[in-house]
Amino acid sequence: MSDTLQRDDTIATPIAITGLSPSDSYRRHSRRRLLFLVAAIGVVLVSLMVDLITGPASLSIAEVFHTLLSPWGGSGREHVIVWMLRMPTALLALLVGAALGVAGAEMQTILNNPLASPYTLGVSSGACFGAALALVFGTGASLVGSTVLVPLAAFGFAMLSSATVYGIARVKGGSTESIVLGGVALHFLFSAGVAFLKFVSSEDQLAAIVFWIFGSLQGATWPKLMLVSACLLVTLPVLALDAWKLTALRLGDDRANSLGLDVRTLRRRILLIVSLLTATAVCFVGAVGFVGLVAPHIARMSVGEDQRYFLPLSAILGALLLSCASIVSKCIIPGTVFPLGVATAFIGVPFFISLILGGRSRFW
Amino acid sequence: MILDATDVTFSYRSQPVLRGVDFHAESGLTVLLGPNGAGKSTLLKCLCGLLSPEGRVVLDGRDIATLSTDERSNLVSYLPQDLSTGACLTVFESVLIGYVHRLGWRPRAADLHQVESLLEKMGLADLSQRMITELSGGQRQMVAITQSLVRDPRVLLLDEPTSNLDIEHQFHLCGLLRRLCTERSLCVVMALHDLQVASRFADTIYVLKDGLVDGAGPPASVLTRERIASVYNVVAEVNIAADNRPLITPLAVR
Amino acid sequence: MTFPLGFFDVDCREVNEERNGFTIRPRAAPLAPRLERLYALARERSFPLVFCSCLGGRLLEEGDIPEVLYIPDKPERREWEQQISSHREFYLQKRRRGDPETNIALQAFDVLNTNANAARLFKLLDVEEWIVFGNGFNACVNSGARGLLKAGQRVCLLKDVTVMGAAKYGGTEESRLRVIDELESLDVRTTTFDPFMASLTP
Repeated sequence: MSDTLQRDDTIATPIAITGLSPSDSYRRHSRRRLLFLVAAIGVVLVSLMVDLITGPASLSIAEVFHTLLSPWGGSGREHVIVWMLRMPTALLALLVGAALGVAGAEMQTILNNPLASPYTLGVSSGACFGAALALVFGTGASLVGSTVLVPLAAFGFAMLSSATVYGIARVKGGSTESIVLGGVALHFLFSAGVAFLKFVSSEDQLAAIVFWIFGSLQGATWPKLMLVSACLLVTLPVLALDAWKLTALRLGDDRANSLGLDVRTLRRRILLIVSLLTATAVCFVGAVGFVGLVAPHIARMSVGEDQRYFLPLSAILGALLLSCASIVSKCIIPGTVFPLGVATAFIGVPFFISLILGGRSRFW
Repeated sequence: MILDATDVTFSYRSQPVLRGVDFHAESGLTVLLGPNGAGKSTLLKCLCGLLSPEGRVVLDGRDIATLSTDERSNLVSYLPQDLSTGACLTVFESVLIGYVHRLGWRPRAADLHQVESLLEKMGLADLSQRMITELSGGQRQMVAITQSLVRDPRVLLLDEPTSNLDIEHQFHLCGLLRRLCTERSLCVVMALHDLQVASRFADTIYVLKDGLVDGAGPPASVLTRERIASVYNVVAEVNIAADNRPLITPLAVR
Repeated sequence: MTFPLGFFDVDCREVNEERNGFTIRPRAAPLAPRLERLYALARERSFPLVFCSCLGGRLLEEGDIPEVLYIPDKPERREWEQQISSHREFYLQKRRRGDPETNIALQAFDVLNTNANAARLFKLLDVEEWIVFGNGFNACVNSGARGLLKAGQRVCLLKDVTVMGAAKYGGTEESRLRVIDELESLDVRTTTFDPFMASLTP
């Protein structure tokens, strides 16, 4: 079998230089990516620390660390500030960022489209619309209403809009244009729906809608954190079990089918998960765009699309992005807190554009 | 391995595409010819079980409809015409994915080893850490075939694998497929447009026209001047070369 | 300067039409007798009184009332720091950013998040415990109390010297109870008017 396709002998691959066998260089590649993940987690931890250190109550770094080391120790001023006020906010940024990063990564995977994200394809606005609908027509004011019905409606409509995008993708053969156009159209439809609901709602309902849609990290509490963590704990293992299948899905439907995957069932399952993650994220911090689009892209450029690395890195980078945004929102004007969405765009966009222009297809 | 299809009929939204096709292939290289829309791609998808037609597709005596997904995908591998993908995967990874049905979180050393030896056999070892998006059309075709081979299938179905290749790569690819046929007693069925390539490499040729088999057999008996005229609407000169394979020179539209 | 107590009054009074004094905000009218006693107490004992507006009512403008030190929201303004010792009443500048929707989106109700000098003022005043009361409980008072906590201050809430925010800002009895719960879990001391006043008379 000497006479095979070896036309491009000009490419001096690093493997040829190091003389490693293909499986050894694959192993090395895997190890490097694992290291990259660990390093990224390290950066997230640093970012979390910085987030905990920044704030108006001029606590020294030493004081913050000391308080962190004794989570159950006392209920002093520092304890309240670090553990009850700053920590929930900082962790909520991480968790919601991770949820959005994962949701974006898997939407891009199942729609085979790099422009997909919960925000660009109207899934977030679907969630907003569902919540608004429940707030206006449901029993939004009662305890059951606000804690059960509203998130449920948000999830339902997130699901509806992602299913619609998926339907468009199927009918039109999954072309980039049809998916993105369909998603943008949905986004406008649901935004118009929210505007309509605001128009017909009473003043209290209006305020409830606005409060809900513009959620912020500032209202973070430990119970809310538990909810978001629970959502991630349920969904991430499911995605992890499907990791190889999702990787194979990127080869195209026919190929994936021929490899023995039940592509349809897989897509539906992932769609459900994406909707759940998006609705949860939107429930807590409102429709923060961008994270779900950018985090997966950076992850892809860094470790490729083997989902065993791509998926966790998307989560980690999403968390990092929102965490940095949380820090930046406190630093743009010292002493004040900027809206999160603004800060996210401020740090995310320049970085993203520099990546696009840099044009490196991967770092590893 | 014997692939046998009887009376295969299939319609897309009440538009009949295959109208009772009988098809038979054994280990060796079988080529499907026919004008655009004759039903070549649809027949390939029916043969691999992606589409469920009326009629029967039988693999070594077992109806393909009764096989489990895993059994089916272990026996038959199908490569669609469009292999373009934006997936950021290395050559090694994309070949490894051939094992998707049984890969655990950590791939087994034996599987990695198997991928490595296949890459070496296919001459792709030097490319193993390249991204598939950076490859040329021919290289990508080779990677896809390698990926198909990891499960050691009995039947390989290819939809116009040579369409993006220059003539040299077409010859390389077809030569390789012929070798695979003999070395692994593989049954290769591919749809092609190029009559000359088909004539040069095929053991058996099927000509499809309007969802029906217009002719089947060895190249010299199938690729006649009359059939080319009636199926493709083209006037061609056909000479039989020393190796008993026809040389076809298309001259004009009829 | 150290004080055992300071008052943080959220939106209970607004500058009057002539801009030479204050009137109790109509929404806070039910609190008027208690408020007057608190204001009087602050004057008598020379406790600092910090106040701010919420999302309704007339905004105080710089120079309107000379006895009140106006704390501008821009971080580059620092000249007010020199005048702290000669004042006992302080007004935190607040900007409104349009309709309710924009105000909520930009969190205009949260004075400690939007006035860059607020945390600095509280730090310079060095008060042992801030007594918080006011109008717009679920939004302005809540975020004010949290802001004080974040700024490292000790907070005591006078539960019965509060009025819920307008319904359009989400003020319901349910949200009131939830806010009190949350604040208590953050180590905010809560009490009511009578015991509080009693605790000050030996």
